[in-house]
Amino acid sequence: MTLRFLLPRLLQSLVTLLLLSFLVYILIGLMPGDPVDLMIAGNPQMTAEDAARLREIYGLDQPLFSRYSHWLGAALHGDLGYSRLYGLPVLEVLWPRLLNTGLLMGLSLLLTISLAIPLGVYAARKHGQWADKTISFFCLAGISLPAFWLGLLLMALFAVKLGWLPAGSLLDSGDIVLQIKSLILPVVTLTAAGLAIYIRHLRSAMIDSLRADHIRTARAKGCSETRIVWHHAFQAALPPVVTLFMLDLGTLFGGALTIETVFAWPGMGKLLFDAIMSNDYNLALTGFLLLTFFVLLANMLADLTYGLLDARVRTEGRKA
Amino acid sequence: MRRIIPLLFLICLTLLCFSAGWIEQWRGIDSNIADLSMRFQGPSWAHWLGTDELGRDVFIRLMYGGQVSLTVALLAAFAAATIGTTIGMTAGYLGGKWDALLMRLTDLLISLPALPLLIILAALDLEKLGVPATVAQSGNISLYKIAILISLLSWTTLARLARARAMTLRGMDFVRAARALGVSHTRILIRHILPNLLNVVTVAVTLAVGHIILMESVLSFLGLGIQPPLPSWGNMLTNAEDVMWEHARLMFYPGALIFATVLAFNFMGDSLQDKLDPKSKTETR
Repeated sequence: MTLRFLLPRLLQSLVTLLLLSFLVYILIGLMPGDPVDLMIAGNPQMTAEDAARLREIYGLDQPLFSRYSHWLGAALHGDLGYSRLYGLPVLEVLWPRLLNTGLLMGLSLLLTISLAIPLGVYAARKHGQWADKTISFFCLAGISLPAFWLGLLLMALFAVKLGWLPAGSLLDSGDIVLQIKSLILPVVTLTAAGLAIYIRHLRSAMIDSLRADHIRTARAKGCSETRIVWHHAFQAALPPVVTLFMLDLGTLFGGALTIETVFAWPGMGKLLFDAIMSNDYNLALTGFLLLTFFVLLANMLADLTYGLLDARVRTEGRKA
Repeated sequence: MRRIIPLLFLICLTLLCFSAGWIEQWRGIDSNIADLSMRFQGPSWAHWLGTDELGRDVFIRLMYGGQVSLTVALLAAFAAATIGTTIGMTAGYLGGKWDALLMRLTDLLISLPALPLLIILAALDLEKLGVPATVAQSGNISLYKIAILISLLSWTTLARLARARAMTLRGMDFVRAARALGVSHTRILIRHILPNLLNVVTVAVTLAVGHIILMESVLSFLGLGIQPPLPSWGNMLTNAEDVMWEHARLMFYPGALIFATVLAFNFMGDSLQDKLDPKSKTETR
């Protein structure tokens, strides 16, 4: 069943990626200036003939479609080209950045989940009481907060005013203490930004499941409250939260673009932003497609786990 | 209460922002003129919130920024509502192939990384797209550009909601009766389906406005949204970030205004939702 479900989805994702690569290729070509313009700006001694020759070498004088098919042919053979910004093969530039973002986002996602579960469940158990209302208010504030502003405020307080923490990334400092210190502010910012959504989802799912018939039965049987909440109700409330988590995994590598830029964190988001801003075609294109691939993959996994976790969907799927 | 306070706040804020020109005249300040001898002044009677890195009045610039941010948000929300409702209700009402096609499109858009895409789109050179140079270089162009771009990426939630509602309505007796009387599909959509969708759409749009303000502020903050000298809350934060080591104060105001405005819209949306559908408090999906 899973294979029959997965294969068409996988195929669909591949077609989507192919279409997107063409679309983004066109879009990037529509951004102001081309790479040779940048070289001219960087080297005043370059003559018009040099520029024309360079355009020929890079194939920039070719029509769009033939340039694209050339790129695609090479890409399918694993050659994604060179990053002009870094003078390295694209994948070599991307790889360490992916790890950096993974570290940042992994930690904040972990922190988010471990805070959201107790808070969401607590709010649901106190549904309608002041504790619930307080948590809900903070959640609404959380989703209304511009995350990059929070980052700037934290930086102003802890880095500028108090001087306790560094304002930017010190990943290349080689000092483990400094590295950990420079992680704190971005992780806290990202957690504060993501926490509210998780709590809201978990809270409403828990409220729902605490009302279900099987909970009443469990109570009537004399189950302990802890077991009712954590065993019966929590498990029933899990599917939407797991889906959210899966979808977050997909946006994980691009989701922190603004925060990475604020804290000068050398991750995927900042790399992609820099690549787009400085016309690094190959890097921007590959980076964007990679992020889309993650999102598509995560969507697929989310659907899959939802089907596995939720008995109702499972049977419906069989009927259809 | 939950609706009144945010609504009052938003009305006052809008009035204040749009009377910026009048306040400027009354106080005899020109917030566009740089005066380097007046840089980084603290709050005073002459400059209520002090002056910025070019000696311009912060309070009045915040109000002008508010005009821009609110205009973009409302334009984009209205456009997104129109696109989303049209696509969603058509798909839901017609069903079949049209539904499959339109919803595939919606899913595709949802699965794209929104912010990177928005950045690529915002960085496009309008002149290469065939927009006349006089238009592409006019001062307010970034405002319309951003509003259009954001609306193109934020209609999907609305489309899904409108579709679900239209699917329910399609099977109802009054729609089937109209159909049996020979009323055309277009007329049924406009006269019978649309009015019954408006509740759902209103709530979703209210919530979308908050989201759109956040998107605009991020784009402007990254330097791709509203272009100076036109102020917006987002691009005022960019300027403030450059001088945050000495004057953190300047960074506080624009962000606080974004936060308060978005919060007000979200509060309104949430309580409207509860009012329209008391069950939604407990519903998950």
